[in-house]
Amino acid sequence: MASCALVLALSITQNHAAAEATESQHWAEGVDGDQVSTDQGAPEADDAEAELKRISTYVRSLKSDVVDLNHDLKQMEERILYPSSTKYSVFVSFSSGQFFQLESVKLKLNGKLVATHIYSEKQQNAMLRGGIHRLYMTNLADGDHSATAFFTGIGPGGRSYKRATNIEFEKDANSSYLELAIGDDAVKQEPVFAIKQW
Amino acid sequence: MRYRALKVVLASRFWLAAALLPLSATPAAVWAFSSNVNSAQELEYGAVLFEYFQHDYFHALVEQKYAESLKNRSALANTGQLVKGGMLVSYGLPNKAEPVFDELLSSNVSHEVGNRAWFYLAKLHYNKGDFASARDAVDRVEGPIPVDILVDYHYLATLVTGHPERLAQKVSMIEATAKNSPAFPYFLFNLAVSQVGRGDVAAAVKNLERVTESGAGGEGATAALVDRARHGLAELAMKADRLSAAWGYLSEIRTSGLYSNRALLSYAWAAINREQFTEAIPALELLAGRSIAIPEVQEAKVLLAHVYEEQGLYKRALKRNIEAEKEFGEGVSLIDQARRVIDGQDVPREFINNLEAIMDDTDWYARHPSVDYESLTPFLIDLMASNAFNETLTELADLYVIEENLHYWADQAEQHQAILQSAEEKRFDQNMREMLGRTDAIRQELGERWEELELYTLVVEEEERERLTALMDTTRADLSVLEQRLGRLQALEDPYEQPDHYQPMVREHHQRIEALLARTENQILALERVMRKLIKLELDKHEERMNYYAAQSRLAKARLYDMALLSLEQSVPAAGATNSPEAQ
Repeated sequence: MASCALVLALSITQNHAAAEATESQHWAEGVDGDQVSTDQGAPEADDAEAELKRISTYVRSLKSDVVDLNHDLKQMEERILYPSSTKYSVFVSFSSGQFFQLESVKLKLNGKLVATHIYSEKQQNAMLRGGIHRLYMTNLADGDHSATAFFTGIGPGGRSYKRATNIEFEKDANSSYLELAIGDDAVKQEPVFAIKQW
Repeated sequence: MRYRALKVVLASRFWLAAALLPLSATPAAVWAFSSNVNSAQELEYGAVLFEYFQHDYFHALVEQKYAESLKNRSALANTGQLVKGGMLVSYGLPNKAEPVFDELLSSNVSHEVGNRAWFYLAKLHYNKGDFASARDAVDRVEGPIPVDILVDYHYLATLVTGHPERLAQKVSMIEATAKNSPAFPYFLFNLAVSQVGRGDVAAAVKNLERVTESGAGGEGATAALVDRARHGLAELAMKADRLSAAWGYLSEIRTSGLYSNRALLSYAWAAINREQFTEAIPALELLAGRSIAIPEVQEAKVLLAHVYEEQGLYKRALKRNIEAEKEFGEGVSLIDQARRVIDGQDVPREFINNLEAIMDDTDWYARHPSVDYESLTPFLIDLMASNAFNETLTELADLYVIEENLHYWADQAEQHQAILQSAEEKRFDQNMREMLGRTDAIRQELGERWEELELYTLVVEEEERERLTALMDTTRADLSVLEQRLGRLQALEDPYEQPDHYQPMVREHHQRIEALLARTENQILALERVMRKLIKLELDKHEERMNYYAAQSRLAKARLYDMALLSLEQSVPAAGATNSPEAQ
């Protein structure tokens, strides 16, 4: 990955004469390139590097296998725990973030607190760039339900900001997602919170 | 003295971050604001980006694979595949990334996506050392280049074609387009390095000076880069015997931070070469007060004594040599201690877990690191700059994450078994169905007997018939209730049952967890061995150097004692003559 990087090692010769450049022109003008020798960095312990290369090959194969396994396990868990007819996911999305810095979210489903999450700085940044957080996954029967989301964070003027929003919704065979969305109201200069079923 | 490896990475971890096109710019009608999300598919794919933008490529790849298995359009789209290729490269799986880019380029992609893919492919080939393929891929990029990869692309083009002149001609154009890019000063620095390599010192100096101008007043990484550029300029100036210029650059480098040790030592050497010994002393004194584990400090201790001797301050020189010899002895014992530390079982893991704290700029170069590795980490400053050590740490960090992930799944395996067990118990419903069948047969039999009983009542006495009729009415009511219940149960559809293949599937997955965990632990052991080996080699180098410096100090001390004795002997005949106390 770091091949773009150049490694430069300049050896310094300490036996300089006290020759000084004339100050009328930049000192570097006319300097002979051969005066400045370059060499690559000190060689690493060869056998350790060879060992590292050998291990890296195994690690690459291992990484690939673990990604595959994680995918398979994730699918398997969903099959066991969340049959497709009842599987229901709740996401948190950010569509601007100019007036609100999200710190935490709480979710109540049918009056019961089912999920809370505190966002790290990394997660906040990821959401501002388009990442969407899968907050909760559950089984939900077809029919009427209600959801309430509580958002806390820093609002306009750097003040602590808390808001709640709720939705009454009917889940049918075609709906599997609920989006808790945070956006900006440019006119009122404040954040907007909404919930939508997909 | 040597100038240690300089390494500049053109924000490589982020080279795909900006590659993403926005999910959508069309506002959803139901929202009171402009939403980025326009479909459930985009919502699902957002989970990939959530991990990706945190640079958690492992989980991002898992999410990507999952999204692809759901036939998610965003994940399967060209931009999604482009991101996938980038994630594979970033996660250290270039061989897996290559077919993704190849596939992308063989399809009908937009000009921008094509250019990006060729660029990433070129980078991938370059990383693998396949310069011919890299050159070919670079040449395939044509037309307008996306701004976020503009700097990187031109730099890569220079590397693979070997002509910094080609890039130098485009500096103005790149500057006009991407001057505010964080990568721009790094690009100038790297260009300068390649120009030095080709002997074009004047152009290199010009670009390094532009780095110092563009980063003036910056903090953190920018300030470090400016220090690095100034130090590079100073070294070039010294190589060209332009000591005044070197002096000027060195005077502007900060006395704390990443390059302060090298800068202070270079400053002292520049002063010595200018025969301005009094200028060298403060820099050397400042350095000598820092940790003995730092190579520049070791050199400064010997040099400081030498400077005092050159100035005729023999007493101070002697004192410095005595102190240096003692401190080198302490340094060698610190190395022994460091060797014992690295032998500790969990040290590599804790080292990586605390890497950010260890790398803390202020603590790292100060005398008191904030973590418990103070006896180890100061010796590893140079080693941290080596590719081999960096790669070892990266691979180990990835393996620890994998190990943690597999332990999580191993714990989950117990829950999977519990769920399957519970599902198995639900098969009792099947037994119930069999029981219902049996009950139905009994009901039919009872119905037949009921008819017989009704015929029988016709032939019994009146009094008995009345009694029987009352009994039959009660029984009929009970049978009716039973029939209704039976009918309801028979009308029920099959209760949910786990498919038969779940049990072996879960078992197989659990076996895979165990097998991969064993492989992971083996690789961790092997890499920890490499890490320990590299550290011990570095400690050996430190020990060798300190023993050498200690010998130098010892020799200088002996020489100064001899001089003092000689001076005393010579002063006996001339008793009464006065000498300066310092000279004595």
